[in-house]
Amino acid sequence: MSQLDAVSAFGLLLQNHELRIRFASDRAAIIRELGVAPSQSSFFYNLEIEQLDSQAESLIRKRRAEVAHLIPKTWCRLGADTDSQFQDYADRSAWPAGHRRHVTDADAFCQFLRMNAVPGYLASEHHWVSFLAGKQSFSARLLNDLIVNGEERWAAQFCFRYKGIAKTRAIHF
Amino acid sequence: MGLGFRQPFTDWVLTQPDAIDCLEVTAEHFFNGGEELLVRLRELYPLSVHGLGLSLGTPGPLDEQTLCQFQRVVELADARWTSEHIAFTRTDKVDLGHLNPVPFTEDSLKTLIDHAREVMDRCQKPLLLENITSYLLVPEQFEETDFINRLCQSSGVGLLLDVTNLFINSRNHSFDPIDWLHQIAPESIRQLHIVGYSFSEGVWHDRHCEPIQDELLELAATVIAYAPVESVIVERDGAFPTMSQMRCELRRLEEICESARCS
Repeated sequence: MSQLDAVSAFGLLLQNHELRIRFASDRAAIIRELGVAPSQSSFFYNLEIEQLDSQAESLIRKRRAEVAHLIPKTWCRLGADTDSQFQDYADRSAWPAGHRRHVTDADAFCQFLRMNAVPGYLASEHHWVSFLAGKQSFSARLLNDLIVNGEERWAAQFCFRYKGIAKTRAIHF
Repeated sequence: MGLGFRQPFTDWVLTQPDAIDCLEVTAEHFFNGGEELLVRLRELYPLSVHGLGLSLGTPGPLDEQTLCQFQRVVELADARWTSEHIAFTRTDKVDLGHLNPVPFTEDSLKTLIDHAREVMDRCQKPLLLENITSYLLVPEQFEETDFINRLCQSSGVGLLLDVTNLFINSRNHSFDPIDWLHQIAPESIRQLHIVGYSFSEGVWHDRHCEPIQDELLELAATVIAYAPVESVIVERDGAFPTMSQMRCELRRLEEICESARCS
């Protein structure tokens, strides 16, 4: 088995909650399991578990904040369940990758809400973030939950790119 | 005195207000378009390019695609210099998406030095590296300040000192930020970042959505009096203020920096 450098092993610990729990109860076993090079293992013996969890939690918190920024109405409708719904989604799905990870994350979270029929899901915001995550120049949907003056309305929603900037417009009924 | 360019500031920035002398653009914001805007900004201001995702602290080769995209933005912006972080965001096994501390060891130092030199070679521009916030203290071979000094001396990079990150770390890990500052070689500090901190449940955070607090202004003034800082960039990523509020914040900061320079 090839040996793992400290940064790569640290990254795995930060991403994987279950691995951190096992690490907290038996560091030596996890260091062996990950194949950390003996010359780099002291870093892991010196880590404070509480601080490690705080750092990992900060990553999830930043993901949540980015997603909330992209789908503010959905976020608001989820109310008190928002954090637990997002944690549930994050635990069950792969972490988004690449520099467009925020829109990919928001799109995947909306998909999670839709698949699980979570009250608060908004097709109109899902359509918008799906468009942002994709590369198409135009997308149109007929949907029944565009929020207008606080009320859900039937609408034709159009998303398009103009001079490279994504925009959305709607005609509501 | 400058501003970290964000999309909500576009209209205001294009009017070339007196309060803004220079801009810092985020490389990743221009990876998928926006060339016209970038060229327009270049015509109006001296630009620097700040990267978030090169992950210079990750052992092994840099991601070629990300480096190419970064280089392209640097060229389009005709950047005065580029900047990145003393951190890693991903490895070949995970993409964490945000900045994380590297162990302060010889191995990490070598990785960062090699990667910093590669970025400078590719972009043909000076590179500054920024201190990050971390909820983790990583007691290792070097103290953070010693690690930064060695990094700057060995690779030729400068330090982008994030005043807010220093303040937040000093509060969360109970150390004196002035002592920390005085352990850094002053000549390496070339640029500052500053934004208000957030505080909740006994912990300080860098959410980039608060106006600059007085303690941060005092710390920025101390840094300016200590080091030959060339540029101060105000950041904001949420709860965007009105343009009038932003102008006031920039002017207040400029006054404080000017008086610190003359002290």
